[in-house]
Amino acid sequence: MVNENKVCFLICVNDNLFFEECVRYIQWLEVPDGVEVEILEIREAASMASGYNEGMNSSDAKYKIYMHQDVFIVNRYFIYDIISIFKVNKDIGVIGLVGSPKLPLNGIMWQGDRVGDFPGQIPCEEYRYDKIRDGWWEVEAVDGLLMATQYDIPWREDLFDGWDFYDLSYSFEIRRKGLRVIVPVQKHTWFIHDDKEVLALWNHNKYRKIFLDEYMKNS
Amino acid sequence: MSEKDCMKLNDRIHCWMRNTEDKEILQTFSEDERNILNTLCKYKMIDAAITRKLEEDGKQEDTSNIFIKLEKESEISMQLKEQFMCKINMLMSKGMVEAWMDIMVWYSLLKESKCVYFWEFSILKIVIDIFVKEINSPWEEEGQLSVLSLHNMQELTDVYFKVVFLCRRIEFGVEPVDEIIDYINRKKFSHVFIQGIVQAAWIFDKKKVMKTIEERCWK
Repeated sequence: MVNENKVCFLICVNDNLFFEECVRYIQWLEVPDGVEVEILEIREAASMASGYNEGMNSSDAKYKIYMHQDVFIVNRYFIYDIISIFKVNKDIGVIGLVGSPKLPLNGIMWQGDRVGDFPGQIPCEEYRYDKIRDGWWEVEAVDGLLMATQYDIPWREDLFDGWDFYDLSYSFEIRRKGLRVIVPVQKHTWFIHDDKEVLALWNHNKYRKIFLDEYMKNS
Repeated sequence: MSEKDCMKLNDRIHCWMRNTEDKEILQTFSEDERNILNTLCKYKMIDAAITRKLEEDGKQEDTSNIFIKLEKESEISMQLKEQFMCKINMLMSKGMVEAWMDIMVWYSLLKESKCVYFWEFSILKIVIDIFVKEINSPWEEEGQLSVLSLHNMQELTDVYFKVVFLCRRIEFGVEPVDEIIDYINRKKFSHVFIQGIVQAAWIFDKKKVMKTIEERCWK
């Protein structure tokens, strides 16, 4: 039974220092009355997709936030904003913070245009997102640094058994279901991503090929 | 080690770079250093072969090249990383200015070789820059250099992120400032050290953070 008034943050963890900091920011967020917040840490996941599937199946929360341990949410009203978008837009499957309006044909997200990824806009205490005034971008795919959902759709752990392309795959799976993928227009940044420069992209090419085979063949 | 000795290491490395086959020069290095240099040679050969192959295939302009290279170079890169980390850990464990001079030389070699794929080395570079500022600061004496209190790469990256996280909490008002003040005082970190990290990290309002800390530290 889905709990309509619950938000679950699901985080694959392999670094306690980052995870504890990530949790600190989640606990700092304002929570709407009547909404329950759960934080689910997933340790020793075989892959991102399998970890997220495990977490998804173990939480009854209607709203799930799949995020990296090195992302710190600095929009204090993040939970309000996510719920308000989902509640009036039943056709939105995923909300991300960084996205690609048109994914390049080679599957490399950061080669094409991206939205939401513009550091330098200092969050201020007065800032509140307004979905009518500010709106959102429609995108083909979002970055896995944070992905919020309102429906439980399985992650493709059968194809993506590593740490790459699980996010783009999920975005495409969502769109296959006829749902939309969006990124809110963030007039002040919603997050800080302390990703360790030059990531472990050793297997990126392998999963890129799998991704292209599965989703981009007819593009 | 004196400045002159440091120059010698630098000179020896430059000599080796001019002729990597020169056994006489190789013998001037310790065994662990020779292993690094040999791996570096292997790395360059593999990299050149892959680049040639990509050019033959007409893919030299393709952005996905970086991932193809990463995939093929993963094993040798990991080996090189491990050897470098061991060397740097050994030097850091001495807690001496002279050892940090050597670290600077080894880091330069790594950077010139264009194989700095690891986030640890980006943070090492930040701390090297701080070290240079600390030794040139009229307020710091040798025994009080903050950088010398870091005894290995794990400690270096942990301290770096700990300081970044604490500073960021000040910026966003996530918790009272007492913890960072206690931490800086307990570790006896210098103004140069903290400022160097704040400048390098993704912290929006650097002035606010530094002003808050300065009001309570280094009195």
